[in-house]
Amino acid sequence: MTYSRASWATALAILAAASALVACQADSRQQVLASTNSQVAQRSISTRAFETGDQSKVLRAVIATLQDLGFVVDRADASLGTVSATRFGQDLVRLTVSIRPRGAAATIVRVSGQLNQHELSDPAPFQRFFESLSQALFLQAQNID
Amino acid sequence: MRPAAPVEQLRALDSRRFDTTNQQLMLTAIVGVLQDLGFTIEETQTSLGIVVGSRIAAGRVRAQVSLLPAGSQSVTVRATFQRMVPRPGAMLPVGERISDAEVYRGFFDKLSQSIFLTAHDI
Repeated sequence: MTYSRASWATALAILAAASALVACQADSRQQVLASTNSQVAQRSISTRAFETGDQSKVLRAVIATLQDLGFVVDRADASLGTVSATRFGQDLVRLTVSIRPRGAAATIVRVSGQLNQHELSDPAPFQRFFESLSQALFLQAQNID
Repeated sequence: MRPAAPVEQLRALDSRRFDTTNQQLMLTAIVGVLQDLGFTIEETQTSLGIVVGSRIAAGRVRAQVSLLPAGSQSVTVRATFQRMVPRPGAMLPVGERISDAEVYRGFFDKLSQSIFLTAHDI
């Protein structure tokens, strides 16, 4: 009787450990891979093309726009074309802006980021960012498809 | 300072080979997939082929993705994900390597998609 109670306890302990492991794995999948939109949908709301081949001009305008919006740059890499910036305030906003050439005469700008613990998945903040960037560049932001 | 598992086993889990020599495209696609997943880029080294990013989700997850030439026709992409959990009152957070194979499989699926989208200027 004692033996069988002990084996029950062991079985329960194993079950608890196994479910904790499953929960932990589900957690890490959630932490790394979870996203609201599909990759294509997310790119279409967060990417615009500008009719200029001058990437350093675009990068400078991106940094100026981030400053206009109250961000402080954490990291900028001109050769890869990325800028990361943070804004502290009521909410914590972290952004990464990446740029890449499209042909010789256009540059693609992509923004991504997090508001507190959540990724930016709503079109509105991107829209506002690109409006500011358009003004800084004196160029129209074009949707990419 | 010992690896968590035999090195060959780790590399099979966290590395994939891609048949391209276009390092710039690969790096752009790596930045792209991290952006798709809501990571903020924290460090990049174009010449060494390293991109590091982080995402805040129940603590903080760090991702390091590196590129290594593999022969003359292909590159190896290697990813490491780390979970950092703050400890109240302690200076350093607790960190651990994420070793769930599903995370790495999912990441490389999304990277393949990112390479395709990036090559098509999307």
